[in-house]
Amino acid sequence: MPVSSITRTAGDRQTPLHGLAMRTKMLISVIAAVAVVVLESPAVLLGLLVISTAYAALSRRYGVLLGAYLLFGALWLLALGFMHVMGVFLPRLGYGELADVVVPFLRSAILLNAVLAMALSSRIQGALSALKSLYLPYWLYLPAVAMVRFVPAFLFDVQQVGESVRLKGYRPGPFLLVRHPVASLRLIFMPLLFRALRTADDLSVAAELKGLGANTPASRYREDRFGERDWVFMVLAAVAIGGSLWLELGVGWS
Amino acid sequence: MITLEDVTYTYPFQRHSALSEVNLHVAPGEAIAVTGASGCGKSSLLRVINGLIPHHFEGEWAGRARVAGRLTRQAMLAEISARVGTLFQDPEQQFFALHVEDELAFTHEQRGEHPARIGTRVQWAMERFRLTGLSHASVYDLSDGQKQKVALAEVMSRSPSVLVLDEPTANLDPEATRELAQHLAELRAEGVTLVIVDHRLYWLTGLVDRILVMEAGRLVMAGSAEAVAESRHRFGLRQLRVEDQRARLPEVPRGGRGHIEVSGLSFAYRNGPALIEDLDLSLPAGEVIGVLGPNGAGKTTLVRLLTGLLKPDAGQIRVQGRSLSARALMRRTSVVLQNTDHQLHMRTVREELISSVRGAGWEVDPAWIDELLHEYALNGLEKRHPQSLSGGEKQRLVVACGHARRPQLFVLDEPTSGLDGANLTLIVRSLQRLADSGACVIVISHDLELIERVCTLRLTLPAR
Repeated sequence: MPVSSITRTAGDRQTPLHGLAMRTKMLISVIAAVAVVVLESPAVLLGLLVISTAYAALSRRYGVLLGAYLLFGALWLLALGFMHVMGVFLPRLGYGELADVVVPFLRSAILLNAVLAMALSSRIQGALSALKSLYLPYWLYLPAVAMVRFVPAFLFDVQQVGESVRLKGYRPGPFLLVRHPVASLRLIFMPLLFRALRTADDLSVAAELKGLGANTPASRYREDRFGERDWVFMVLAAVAIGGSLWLELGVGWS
Repeated sequence: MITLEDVTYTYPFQRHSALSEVNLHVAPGEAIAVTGASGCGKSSLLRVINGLIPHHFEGEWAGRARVAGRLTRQAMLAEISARVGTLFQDPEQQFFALHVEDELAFTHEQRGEHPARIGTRVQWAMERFRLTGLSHASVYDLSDGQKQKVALAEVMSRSPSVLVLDEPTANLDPEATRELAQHLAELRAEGVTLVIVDHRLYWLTGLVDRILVMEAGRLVMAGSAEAVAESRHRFGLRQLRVEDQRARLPEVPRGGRGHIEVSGLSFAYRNGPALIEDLDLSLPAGEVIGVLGPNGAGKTTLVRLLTGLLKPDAGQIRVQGRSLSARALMRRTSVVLQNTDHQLHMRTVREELISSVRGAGWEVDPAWIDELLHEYALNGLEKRHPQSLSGGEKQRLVVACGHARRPQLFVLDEPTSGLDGANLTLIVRSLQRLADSGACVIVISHDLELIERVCTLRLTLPAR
């Protein structure tokens, strides 16, 4: 399988979300993150969840969204299972009422939507440029660049190691991990560890040879300009979140 | 342009010097090639020139290195890299962006250059290296030759006076190699000093002024291609003249009875066009088959189908007349992937071989393991951790592991990339022996020397 098929994003599609500046999507995510910490009303959070789901759906990556929601649901069920088990042995740590679970669930689902909308409608390069535009210190920006850049390489390594394990006569997967934990460590994690170390070394060499050690302030070749559409989305986000806060704190919805 | 005086260097925690009393003078605009057996110190010499030694790789250093007018020990690495451009074997190693235009702009942005100047440099690089049509392409969608061209364009957009290249053709097909040589010849004509480290020498003969040979950290010979050709065997070097035999090899039969029979094979990746369509093949035993075709033709996909790693959408694969499941197919085959790091899992070289024998369902015979260690020149390394071996040793080990499984089908993907002449000869002999023992050996390779020396048939896949 070509690497590009592993790493392809919706970068080439054109939806209303793709036309937004990266900074707009980042800002919406940050505002949503702050708002869900403040909000506690399940009804208000449910309203925000509907709005954020519509926002994520604008990316038109319905299959990926569905997959993400299923994974999210599975992780929540797993967490609930563990909480239930803990509650049996240590009742203080278990959950008492449904509302105890619903509110954190709604909060995390809203955040998931905000992040998915950003991730499914942005070029990675756009995210890097936006990070740069935030004037983050060099020691913070470069590792972020390296991490984003080498995710595809790591995924490719995972695929290759998986194939080499299959060629050795094993079936990589959860069953192998549970039944032969030591062998799994040797077969899967050791080659990945060595590859990761090698990649990190290559990366640092490449960075040095590109002269990235010179402490000069970075410039931007392409501007991430705000347009009319960005203002419209910012106003809509402000209305949705401001309205939610007003309903809960002003009107007293619970 | 480059002057090294009595340079001696030892890597940290190593007993032996990687470079010993190296003296070298390269004039401005001169082009030199540096070659030698694996581990002879070629890459270390290159690291001295581009300043990685001593700025990135610490260790014990003696002597003086002056490059583009500056003593490398006194200059900052960022300052050296502005004058000395470096091109790696794998261009992906040096990409920081995901799209061509972004990659060309990245270094200039990091250096804080004015956007207008960045635009000029990017435009110049795209036109100079004929990349204009690829400006918005993902670097992952490019062929190896295009990737190398993007990396070269990015380096040259910084206008260095010295360009050092570390095995730049290891992943390139002969056509892309020719194009790279043409670009380098143009740069040389423009006055850029070239230092090229490579095992493959045939493409360098018309390009460089002299070839330097290294052995055990020392420069032991410098001369013309003809002079070096005479001492080739003494230093374990590759051939300086290679015949392109690809068109002369007979094509494998399409259909009919054979050791491995493929009928009506079709495959497409999800949401992609058909990569293999209704393919009939008859792969005979006792032959070494070179799989040829341009990038994207489906060479790797085909061998993944043949070995059971991928499930075909339609068609059958029979081994000695029997249709097999993917698991049974994998037991009868050995595959050597391009990157050795992915395939080495065990604690020692011996354990790695034993694990391969067991994986194929055979009883472990210590005499067979000893024989393999001897055949692949791995004696004395059997207690070493496989990941601690040199590139050439790892390559020999993964081929030995494939051999250890006594496969009916043995597939090797670029098995000689980065190998010196002596290691190449060892691999060639082993593949011939395997074929003689009744296996069908399939090689995917751009290495003309390997194809010339070992392939007896070809399987050509058309461009898609």
